Amino acid sequence: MTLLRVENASVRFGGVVAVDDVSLDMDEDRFLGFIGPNGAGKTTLMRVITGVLRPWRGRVIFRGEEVTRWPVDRRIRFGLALAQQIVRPLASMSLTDNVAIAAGVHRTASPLAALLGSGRGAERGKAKELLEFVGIGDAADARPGELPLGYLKRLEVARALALEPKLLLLDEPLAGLNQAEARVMADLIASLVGNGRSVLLIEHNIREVARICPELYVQDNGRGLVRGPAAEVMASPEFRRAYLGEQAA
Amino acid sequence: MAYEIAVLTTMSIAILFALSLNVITGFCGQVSLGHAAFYGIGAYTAALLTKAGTPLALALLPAAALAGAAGFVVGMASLRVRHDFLAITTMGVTFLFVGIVRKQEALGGEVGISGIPSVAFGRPGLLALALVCTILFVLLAVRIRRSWMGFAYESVADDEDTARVLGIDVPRYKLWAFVIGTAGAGVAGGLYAHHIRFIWPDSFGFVESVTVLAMVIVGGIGSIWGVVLAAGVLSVLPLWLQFVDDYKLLVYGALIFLTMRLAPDGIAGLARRLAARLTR
Ligand SMILES: Nc1ncnc2c1ncn2[C@@H]1O[C@H](COP(=O)(O)OP(=O)(O)OP(=O)(O)O)[C@@H](O)[C@H]1O
Ligand SMILES: [Mg+2]
Repeated sequence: MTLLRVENASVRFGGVVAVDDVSLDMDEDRFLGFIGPNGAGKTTLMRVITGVLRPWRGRVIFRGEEVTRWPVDRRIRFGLALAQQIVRPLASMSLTDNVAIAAGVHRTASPLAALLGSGRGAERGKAKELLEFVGIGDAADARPGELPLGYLKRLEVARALALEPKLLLLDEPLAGLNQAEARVMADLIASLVGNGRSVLLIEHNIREVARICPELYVQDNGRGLVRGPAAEVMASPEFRRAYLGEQAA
Repeated sequence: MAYEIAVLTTMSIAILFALSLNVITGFCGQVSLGHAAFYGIGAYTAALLTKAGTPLALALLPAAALAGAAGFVVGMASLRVRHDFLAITTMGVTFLFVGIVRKQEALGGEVGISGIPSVAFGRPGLLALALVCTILFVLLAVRIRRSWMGFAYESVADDEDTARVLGIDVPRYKLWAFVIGTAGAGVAGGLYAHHIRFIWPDSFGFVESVTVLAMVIVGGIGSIWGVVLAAGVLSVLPLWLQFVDDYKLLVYGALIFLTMRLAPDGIAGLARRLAARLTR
């Protein structure tokens, strides 16, 4: 079944067309690698899917509902989660609480119900497990301000997982990790796919993407170039043109 | 005895007023420079009702409801503005309130309302009522803080874009903070009107808004006991020091400035750091 469908989305920033008439769909339990050079409009398309940006044209359909006009938080509660390229931890809270508040997403859905609910033990327990899972359990009690980027990137992933999404959007989760850490993280991401969860992975680390993603989508200059099984895409002239420049084509 | 009762009533009302702002500015992170307007709405509502024969304990309910309704409207208007712009927008609310009330014959215009009746059981009765309201509000604040609502407010105060990405309905949470906070201010205003027994537009102007903000900031933005302490002390300062009464705006403005420069987390933050140093 189709989980996500983006139809003819366009986004403009002043004179720049960051996303140009892009259509993209994804089924349940799928794993799609989303690649393209810097400035290709990957993050911008991701923001259209989460609702941080409204597209100038086009529609977003998620789990059978048109969500184009929904605010971000409603889409999140409906089954989306996002690990952002530029990390945005809640600086006043420990890593555990950063994840626990996401784990309690059903408890904060309504302010009045939230007022009646107390006790954070279960969510903190789940948060600690997720921090262990992404390999930063040692920093569970630390504040984000004390930690290097590699930790904060993984915090983004743990927080997104705590939301138990149907579709997990990851924007460069391997950035800031060394080669060994990136490899572990890539395997971990691959293990998340299935059981009703799909993953859309933006990543510049082509080596890891090619290793773990069965399917790839390439975008350049805001336009969708090619999509298909990883090996076919990487052998295609469009892929080579996007990555090696015009002269190679 | 009468003097002590009057002082305690002043403190209790100030604590309630400051804690109500603390919900908006402390818990939810939305700076408001117009909180006195809601205090004023509560004061005028309660005064008119008791003059018409309603007991104060009952009149406080519509005072809270009207102030909360006005808070809802201001909250709606403030959803799109942040930080400095929010401060300026809410500052406008104070001037709007004073400007409108001055021109209303029915509200006493420039002259205000005098002859506000005394409460059942006189001054001790008013103190008892004020203490009950303040204690109830303290309990509500503690409950919010401990609940998932408070947890959500922490995330909104920290970074509202991130809160949204974590599934928090930020506008709805902000509106609740405005409604709870302004309704609390309405109750405080109703009590104040029956404490002083005379109100006029300037009782609820910019100076009062700055005064209550100073209490929250000096106490430590978001800290319940810090704000209780600061409001208790700062509210009686003008009674004891004529100088403070004469130069209110200057003194409270300077207190805000000094706290923000030297200890942005106020008395509560200082105490926390001191405790950390002693236990180390
Ligand atoms: N908020 C914004 N305002 C103006 N221009 C923007 C904004 N966000 C993105 N752009 C522009 O839109 C284009 C696409 O940017 P985007 O961040 O989506 O690219 P990307 O594929 O994610 O790149 P990278 O791989 O470097 O993260 C770029 O030209 C960028 O400068
Ligand atoms: Mg990007």
